[in-house]
Amino acid sequence: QEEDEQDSDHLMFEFSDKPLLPCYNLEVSVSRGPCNWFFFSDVLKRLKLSSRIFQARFPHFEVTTLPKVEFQRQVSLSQVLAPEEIQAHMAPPLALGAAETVELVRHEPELARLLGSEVMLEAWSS
Amino acid sequence: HYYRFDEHVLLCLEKQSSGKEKNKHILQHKYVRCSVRAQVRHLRRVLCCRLELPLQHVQILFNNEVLPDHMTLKQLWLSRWFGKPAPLLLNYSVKEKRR
Repeated sequence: QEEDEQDSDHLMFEFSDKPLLPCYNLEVSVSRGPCNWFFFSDVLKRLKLSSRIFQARFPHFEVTTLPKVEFQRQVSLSQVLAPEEIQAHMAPPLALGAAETVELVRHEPELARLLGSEVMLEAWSS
Repeated sequence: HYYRFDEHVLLCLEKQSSGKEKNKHILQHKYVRCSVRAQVRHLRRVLCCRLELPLQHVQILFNNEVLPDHMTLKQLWLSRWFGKPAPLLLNYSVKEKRR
């Protein structure tokens, strides 16, 4: 409850000494609003962990998959991604009719810290 | 609405170097992620907090232009950085103390 209240009127700023991994603002199911997701492979690469070890060690981080075509559709609507950043994800499916998916892990403060960022909360008003 | 579910922008904050104070108040963690709804005033506040400086001493600039406090990062992105890849490059300047 307390955390919820803080979330509702605080902005999160993430500071890092190395370039931050991109996040994508996606709606992964119709029953919930959009939130931010990393590519799971980007996170694993930066942490130098396998998917199995990551999920065993951090079972509380939400990992999901999204059909690649749906990911492409949503990403192409972003106003803050450059054409080349969008284009990088637009490779057509490998085989016609193949159900390709992308694996995602949800961005949250704890994961940002794990990736080496310092997280600061700032009140909206004041 | 929770700000943490907003779309993010990626920024890179470099100090506008000037004179004697050139190597002071350098931000070690210069890569920043925040909500598109954050305003310049919020960014200034967190920056001052990290640099341990009073608010009036720090300004945020894009291309030598001081950015207004109430501009949101989305407005900034769309008006100055649309179509360009992340991160958006910003400068900050620190007012030197009078002697």
